[in-house]
Amino acid sequence: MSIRLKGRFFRELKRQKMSMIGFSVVCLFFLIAASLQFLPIPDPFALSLLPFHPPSTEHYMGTDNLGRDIFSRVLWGTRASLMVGILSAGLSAVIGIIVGGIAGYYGGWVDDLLSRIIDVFLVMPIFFLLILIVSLFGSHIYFVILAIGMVTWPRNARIMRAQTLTLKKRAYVTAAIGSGASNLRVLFLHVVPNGVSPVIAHTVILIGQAVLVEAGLSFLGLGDPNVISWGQLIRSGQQSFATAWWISFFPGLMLLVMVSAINFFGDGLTVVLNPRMIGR
Amino acid sequence: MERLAYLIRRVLEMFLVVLAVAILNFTLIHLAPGDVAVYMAGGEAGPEYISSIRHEYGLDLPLHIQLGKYMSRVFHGDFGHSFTRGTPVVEIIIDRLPATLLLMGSSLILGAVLGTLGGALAARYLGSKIDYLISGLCVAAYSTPVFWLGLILIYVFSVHLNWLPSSGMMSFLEEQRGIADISRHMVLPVLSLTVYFIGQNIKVARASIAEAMQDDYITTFRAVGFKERTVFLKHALRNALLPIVSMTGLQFTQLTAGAVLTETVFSWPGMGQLVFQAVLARDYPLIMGGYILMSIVVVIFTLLVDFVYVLLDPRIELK
Amino acid sequence: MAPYENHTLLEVQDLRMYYRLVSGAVLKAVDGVTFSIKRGDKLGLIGESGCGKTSLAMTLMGLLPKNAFIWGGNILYEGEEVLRFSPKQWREFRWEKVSMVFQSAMNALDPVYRVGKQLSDVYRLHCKCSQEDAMRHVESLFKLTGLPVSRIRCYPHQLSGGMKQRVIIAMSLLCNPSLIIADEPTTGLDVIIQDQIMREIVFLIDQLGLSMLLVSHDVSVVTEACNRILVMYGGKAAEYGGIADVFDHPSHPYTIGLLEAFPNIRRPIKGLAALPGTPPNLAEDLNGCRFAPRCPRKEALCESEDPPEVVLYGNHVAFCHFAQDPEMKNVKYGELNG
Repeated sequence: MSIRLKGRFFRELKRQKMSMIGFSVVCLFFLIAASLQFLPIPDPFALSLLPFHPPSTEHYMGTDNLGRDIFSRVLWGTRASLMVGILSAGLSAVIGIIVGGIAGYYGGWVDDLLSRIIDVFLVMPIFFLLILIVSLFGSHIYFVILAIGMVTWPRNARIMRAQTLTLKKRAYVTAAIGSGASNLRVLFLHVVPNGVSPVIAHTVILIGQAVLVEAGLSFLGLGDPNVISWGQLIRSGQQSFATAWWISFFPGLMLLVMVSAINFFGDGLTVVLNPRMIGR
Repeated sequence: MERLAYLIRRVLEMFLVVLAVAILNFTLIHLAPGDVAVYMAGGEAGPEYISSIRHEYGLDLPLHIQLGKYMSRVFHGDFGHSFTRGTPVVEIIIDRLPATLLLMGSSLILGAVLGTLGGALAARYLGSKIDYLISGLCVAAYSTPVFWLGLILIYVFSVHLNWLPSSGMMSFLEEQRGIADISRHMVLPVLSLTVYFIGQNIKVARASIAEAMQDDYITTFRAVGFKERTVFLKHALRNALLPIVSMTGLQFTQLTAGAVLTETVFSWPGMGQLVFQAVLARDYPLIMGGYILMSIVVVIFTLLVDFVYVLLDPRIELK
Repeated sequence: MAPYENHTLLEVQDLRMYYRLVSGAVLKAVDGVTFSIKRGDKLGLIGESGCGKTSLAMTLMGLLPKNAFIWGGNILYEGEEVLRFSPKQWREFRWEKVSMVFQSAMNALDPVYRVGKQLSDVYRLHCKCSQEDAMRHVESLFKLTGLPVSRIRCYPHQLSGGMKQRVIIAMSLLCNPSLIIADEPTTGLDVIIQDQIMREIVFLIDQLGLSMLLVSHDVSVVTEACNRILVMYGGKAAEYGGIADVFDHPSHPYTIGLLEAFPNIRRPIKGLAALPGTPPNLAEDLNGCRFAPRCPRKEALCESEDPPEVVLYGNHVAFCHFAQDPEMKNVKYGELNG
């Protein structure tokens, strides 16, 4: 994209109010996650003598069954969610762009094969697959990120493929090939940068979905036990929900806020990258 | 006739998909760390017992031969016996499948209907405060973790208000059972599962209806004297249905994810919970059987939706 | 209501229709237009895109968007004040008294219903008859417009452009209106089909004794099909009169420019004129003649004072300070290159 286009893009984006609010909230979470060690909050692993204590001035969100401060644990949970969300969505985007770009550009049997694989994945119940993978192979957080990325790239690939099919007929592609550039060069230096916008928009939405998926896996007990995550926190408060609702409530609320923020931002991005949309 | 050929082709494609899923799962299970035979032998079995199990179940054969044998058994309807329960996998699944179908089906339909209504409302007052409110709420709806929502609903409606039961599909006592009873048990699980899909559907319906209202034929039918409501229902909404139906087709896979979580929270006796427990217990025949059957269910639903789409849109060119 | 004399069907008097823009400005789409249509008249409404002709047509049908409003003027149909219609009266007016043939470039038909059903539904809305009777009526109209009756069960996408346009024409005739408004009915069609369809429209109008308001930007179509012409520019009328009068004695520089810009078999072969400049921005306040910036004949007077209505001969009027200037026929535009 030229510099002029980029300027207009950011101006348009700023006009999407909800989107900007969403982005700011995500940035806030990011700051929190990055500066956790320096924040004046209690140690999330510290046991206290006040288990099952409701929200109070000392413990803003109460304490859990071992007396640990929930507010602190909830803040620590932002790290896991952001990491899983952003990294797995990023991985999914990279794989999707490569596979979709190759499929669309080269066509022929390569495209047929890759499209079939994409079709299979899109009809598969992905969460089931993740449950299987994570419980069989291990639940370390990096593995969860890898698994989610490896299972969600097909939709990105499909988007990229459609874009590539349209763009490869453009004049500048013919010009680049004519001037001697190799196919791979043309694909990744010319076609992909121009067609990647809808993939970016979808990937942002995917971040939110990945956060929810990780939360679901943790809630089922399949997440990384060494990392504090919101799903895990909700799980820990499940049995005592009737009497100590705050243990599960606040982590879930955070999930709602974070994923909503990501989605609001993603929606604004989609509108700006796709000017034909009606309604906003 | 053309449509029939198209559908037959789609059925074959879907068949291949289920096959691919089966192969994928089989491969994953057997690539996983941990010895299948050890799990099957259970507890503190001795090495000889483990070897005999391995031989009996053909686990010492090469992977592709095992797969072949398994698939040929599956074609004859034999999914083997569950390790943990001993009974045939098919029986267990048939026992549990209706509950999940009930849950998923209700959520899907409810989500589609309410989503379309909400989207129509937002589209009608496009740009107004009502529109912003609805749109904002629906983003929150599909950002909500379904299991958390389930817990909250249980807390409010079951524990505090005591209006609805908090778990299971049926009451304990024989005489309380029946359709009304199941319906009461269904309310909270379906509600928590549906919220997510209502949100998604409102978003799609709103955009789709707003776009349909801009089409040229809307001007035509206003010009000929139809009332605005007729124009909206008969022409705009009818045309707007197509993307909504498309979206519904995409939601099946997400529904299965939601089903697992919802069934766990509400102890709903369905496939999702079954497969999850099977995975935890490494009950491989049950895992394979459950996955294959869930894939078949998803595939059938997807085909149905495709079929409905073809019925709705006379313009579709069938390749 | 006095019995109608002179068989005047439609009278538009000093109509002003404006759009309220999001920015707060007012766009004066139709700014004081007067004309009338007698029974049997075929009036051609001609001008560039943005001159207000489609807005005018939409105002006559009452199909204006929410941000449009009538600033002033009257529309009298058979003596009744149309602008004061209630929604119920509008629904009876539309299609039974005045109907529309939409642009061929539009997707005027709903893609998910068969064309026969669409037409019969429209008919049953107004006549309240049975399905069979309605279908019979649709069949008769199909025959009238030269469509094979077998096509009644087709979907719009299965029909060619020309056939679709014939369906639109048949639709406009469903309830026996007296006036047909045809909005660019042949634009976008294949040139040969264009001619065919236009001839058929004129034939039907004449045969059924209807009147027509033909909105177009194509002078050649209008000169062949109409007996009267109204030239619009910038939301106002530039010239108005019988086709022969206006064609032979054009008295407004814009009219001259239009006639020069279209090739005409009757005229000697020469280069096509090109009108320099662009249409005015109707949201801005404009003084004087709207056409002045592009007019080769303009003088200082034109930019300060609105041109008067100059009556030339009977029903022929022009809105120019120099309408009666005999030098008008020497107004020249630059030629199109190439």
